[in-house]
Amino acid sequence: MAEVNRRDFLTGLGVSVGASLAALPGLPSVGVAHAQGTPKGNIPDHPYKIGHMTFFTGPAAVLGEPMFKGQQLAAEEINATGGLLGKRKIELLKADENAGTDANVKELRRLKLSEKIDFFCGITSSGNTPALGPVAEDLKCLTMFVDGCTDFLFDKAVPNPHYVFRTTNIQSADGITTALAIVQTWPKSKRIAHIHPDYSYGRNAFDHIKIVMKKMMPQAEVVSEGWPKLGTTDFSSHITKAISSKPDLVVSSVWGGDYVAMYKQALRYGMFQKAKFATTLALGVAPHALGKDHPEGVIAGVHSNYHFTYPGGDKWPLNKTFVEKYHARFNEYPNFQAEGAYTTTYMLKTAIEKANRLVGGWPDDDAIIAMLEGMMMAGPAGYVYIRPDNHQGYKDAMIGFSKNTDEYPFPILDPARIITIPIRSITAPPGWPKGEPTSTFTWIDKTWPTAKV
Amino acid sequence: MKVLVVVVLVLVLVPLAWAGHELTFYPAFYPQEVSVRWVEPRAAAPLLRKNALHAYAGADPLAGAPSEKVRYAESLRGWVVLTFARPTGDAEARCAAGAALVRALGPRAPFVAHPWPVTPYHDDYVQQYDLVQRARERSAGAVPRVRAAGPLKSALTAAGVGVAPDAEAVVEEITLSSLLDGVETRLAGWHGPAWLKEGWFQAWLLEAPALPPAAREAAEETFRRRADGAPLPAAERVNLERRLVGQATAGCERVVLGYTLRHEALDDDYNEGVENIAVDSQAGVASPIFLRTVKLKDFPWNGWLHVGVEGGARSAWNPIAGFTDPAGRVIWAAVGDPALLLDPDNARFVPNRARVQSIEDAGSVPADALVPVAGELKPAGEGVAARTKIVYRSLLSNLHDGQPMTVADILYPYAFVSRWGVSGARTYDPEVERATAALRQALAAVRVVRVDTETRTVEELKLTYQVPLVEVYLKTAVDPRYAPALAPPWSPVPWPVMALMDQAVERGMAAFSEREARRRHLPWLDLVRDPKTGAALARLVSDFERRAWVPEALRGLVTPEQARQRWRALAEFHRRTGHFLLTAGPYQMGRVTPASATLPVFRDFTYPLGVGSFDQYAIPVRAYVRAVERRGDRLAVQADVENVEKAGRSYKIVREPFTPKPPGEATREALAVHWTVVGPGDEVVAAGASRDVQGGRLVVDLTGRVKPGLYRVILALALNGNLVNPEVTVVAYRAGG
Repeated sequence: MAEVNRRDFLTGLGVSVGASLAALPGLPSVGVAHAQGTPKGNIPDHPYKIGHMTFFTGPAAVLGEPMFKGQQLAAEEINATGGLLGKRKIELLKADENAGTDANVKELRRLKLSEKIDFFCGITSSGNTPALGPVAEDLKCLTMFVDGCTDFLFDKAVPNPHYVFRTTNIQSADGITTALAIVQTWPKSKRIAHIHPDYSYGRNAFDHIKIVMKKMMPQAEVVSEGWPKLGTTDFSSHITKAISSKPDLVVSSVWGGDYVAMYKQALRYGMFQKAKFATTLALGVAPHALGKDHPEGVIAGVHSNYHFTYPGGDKWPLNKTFVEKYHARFNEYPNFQAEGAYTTTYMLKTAIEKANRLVGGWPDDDAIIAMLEGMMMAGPAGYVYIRPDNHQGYKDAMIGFSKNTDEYPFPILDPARIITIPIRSITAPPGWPKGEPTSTFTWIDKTWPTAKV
Repeated sequence: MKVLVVVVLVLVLVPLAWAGHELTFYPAFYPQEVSVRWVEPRAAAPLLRKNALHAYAGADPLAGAPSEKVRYAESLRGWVVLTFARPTGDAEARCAAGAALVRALGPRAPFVAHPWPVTPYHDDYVQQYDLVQRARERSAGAVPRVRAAGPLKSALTAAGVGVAPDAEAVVEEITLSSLLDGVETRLAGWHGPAWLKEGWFQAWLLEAPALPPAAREAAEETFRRRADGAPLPAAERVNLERRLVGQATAGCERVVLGYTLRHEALDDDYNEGVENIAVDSQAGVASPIFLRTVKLKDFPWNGWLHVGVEGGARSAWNPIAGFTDPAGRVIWAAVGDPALLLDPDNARFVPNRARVQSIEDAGSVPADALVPVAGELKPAGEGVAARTKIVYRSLLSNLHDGQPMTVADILYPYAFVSRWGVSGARTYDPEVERATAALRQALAAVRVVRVDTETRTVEELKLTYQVPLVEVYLKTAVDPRYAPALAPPWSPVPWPVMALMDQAVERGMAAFSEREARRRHLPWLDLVRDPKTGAALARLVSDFERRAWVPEALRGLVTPEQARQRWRALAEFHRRTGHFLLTAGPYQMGRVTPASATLPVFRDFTYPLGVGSFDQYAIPVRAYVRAVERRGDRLAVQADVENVEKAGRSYKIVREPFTPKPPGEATREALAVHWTVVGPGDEVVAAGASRDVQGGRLVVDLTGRVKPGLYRVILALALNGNLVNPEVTVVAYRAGG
């Protein structure tokens, strides 16, 4: 593969700092202001039942509760205008994903068969989407997963989806996004230390960071690998190992409470003075889940595609309005799950309205599905596109640098240094053969050029 | 006897590629480390202010100098009583003296005026509510001269009440903890008595010492009938409890003036504070539920929790009759895992490591069941009778030395109590006898039916647990509310530690209880902090390992080779940690100093409970009666319920009309109305709790329950089982005729 200039290649990918979104006219967007006029045909007035399953208890509730709130906010807005097609109020039925995979499968069946839900939504865990996806197909239950982002869902568990969709980016985007942010920001780093959790997400992040670096920073070498075992609370051996390898940069995909424990221990060792630091998930939980002692200037991943401060100010009114409404309703700031569920609900609404315009009356699920396939919608995070071939939602990825401000009691992303990446540039294109560990990995490996040192 | 195969717990990592970033199960509870520091309130104040303490179990260190970032957990602390040293004359005058004191104190009273020993912090309050109101109506007599000390003396003096050291009556606070001292069972994983938190029981403990012999004898008979645990119709049971409290208070030898509340400080700072907190309505912060729910705000999970405890750590640290002071209780709450936990919001128990599967009539005891006799577990053979069979699932895990628990670990305690709890035996400790009296009286036999393999899939993890199914046979019929707590099959420490303690005490190295240690001039057995005892225990362990010693009770359950392995692991554990407090609890004994103990979390994936397992106990919510409507022989109760709306690192509670939840939206416990029907003669004619919802209203169906006549129906609502300080509604009800 020919060598290229790194800066030129990044420009070609569309990696940019501080870019703002441009409105594309004619596309549907979230919000009831865009509700259609009088629907065609006879519309029933009984509630439209949505089964929302996510974590309401346990460690993942920090993700799940905002997810439900995002859908709740959208449902309240839609109901305030009369409901879907002005007639059918949305009724949300909650189910706790913390019940376990087997119980979740049973609950989905119960929701569909006994509660007669019209639509199934939610799901945080990547352990659950591959189990629930086939069941939803079997039940012919129109489903949009908000998260559960494993590539496995549409690669293998539901390779030919009809009823099942997912709106959140796939997992491989996390590692690639962080890697490209490193390439963009600290391209001359040579000595890289890694600390990743010793389970598949950590390995996935490591693989994808490494393959991007191999292409874009060929001078870089991995000088240390730390793989904290599951349940690790003492990260000191991994931190000191990383420091002793004298790295220019430490990269980590540790998440949640483990990440907080790790960075607070790293503070004690002065790790952030000794090396630069990049993460896939520092801000990838919920805005309030991180303390202000978190180091500033760290590349802080947000699980690929949303942090409430971007697009900021008045540059993208859909986000400004969403954040204001969400905060007014729930007295907190939304995370990526909240945005995902909010946008998902409006995608459903839009699909129903479009289908109604085509067929009149209340559209059947197949008509709604046809409208969802290939839909592009403007949401708070920007545009989300549902690829018709695999029912996967794609949003442009974004990442930034942690910063403390007086405005918030937690760190945010520095508004002046947001890095955005078109999702098409970091995802294997349609038709690319399935690969290991992921199709995107093999696509990068086989098609990206190597940058000149 | 057949040798049971050692149970092995397995953690299987399945190489699946689909796990997301979010693992959804973390074993043990939120903090990654708990440090417990015993520190007096004055010294705790600056620590709280600089976030070096997150919670303080004890008096308010900031009393008089409140801080915005500190909030308080409220729980019942005790009672303020007026006790007559030599009660003479009529009871009426003594009762009136109590009322006069309360009136004289008025708003200066450093307690909540409440003239009845059963308080809103007892879940049988609703069944005695009318008696409380009647006591409130007592007329006030002459204000007596009293003895008093501390804040009570100050308040009485300020109110113009004569306080003199030679007065015959004393006004004093009697704390709940002092009342339960020497009454509560906290031996190994057992907790009792089963009615530990109930008002009638505590009222008896409070009043009995002040009763003259004749009155006491009569009341004791009522107490015995109530405390034998036999199942009774609800009305009969409630009447017994009311009669007992009535008998105990009728003479006003000890007049309850009110109750006191404990306000324990919690750091509520945005970054450094704690949240998601459950505290026991009676034990407060120093309760197992606190450590199983509390979360540091800066951490989705993990973090270093700092707890301060008032008073020193004087009691020895052994799981048989140690850990008796507040510091010991907090440490044992973290390191030891009980069979059942006390529900923080009512008087019942909730499952922890022993989980009831069924309670049945026993028929007879199977011949292969084991009967504990004089330190052995003997086959029951034919002809052993039992009335009740309780089937439990016991949640085993790895111990802190890496060894998997086995059924031998959960059976050994039964043998132990039969060896040390029987007066007159060579091996005897009166504290073990007292604490296990109810168990020994009730237990007929125990039988391990089988060991099930249960799995849990968490992302790419397939966790496999071994769960013994154990039948416990009781000699008598027992109220199903109490039966699970009597003799659950569980032990927080493994059999080698139990056997080691047993041998050490038998050989005169130490004593289990403080009382016996004093009597025999021996050290109080401490598995952690006594180097001399530790060295002696280490020698014993070495000897046991060399001999592959199997305790008599476990012959047939454990092979010599298995025993050798366990002794070897225990010896290695001691070499590594310097102590013998080996458990299977959520936290481990770590570094100990003269003023603190550090307890690292045990995030071992064989531990069956996880972060968030008890989240539904944090932030208790309440329900309120909006209206009661009569519909024939039924009462329809319209309710308001509280709902928690979480917001970032805080929450608010909103009150909203009750609407039934769909079946999938499980809550800890459905909304219930607790009702008591009181007749004209103050007798309870019917009582119960209803969760029957019809048309959005809770229904109390009195059809056929009461004879024609005029009644009062006392109602209180419990949401999520929360019966703490409920709002009570009384409605008149005329039946038939």
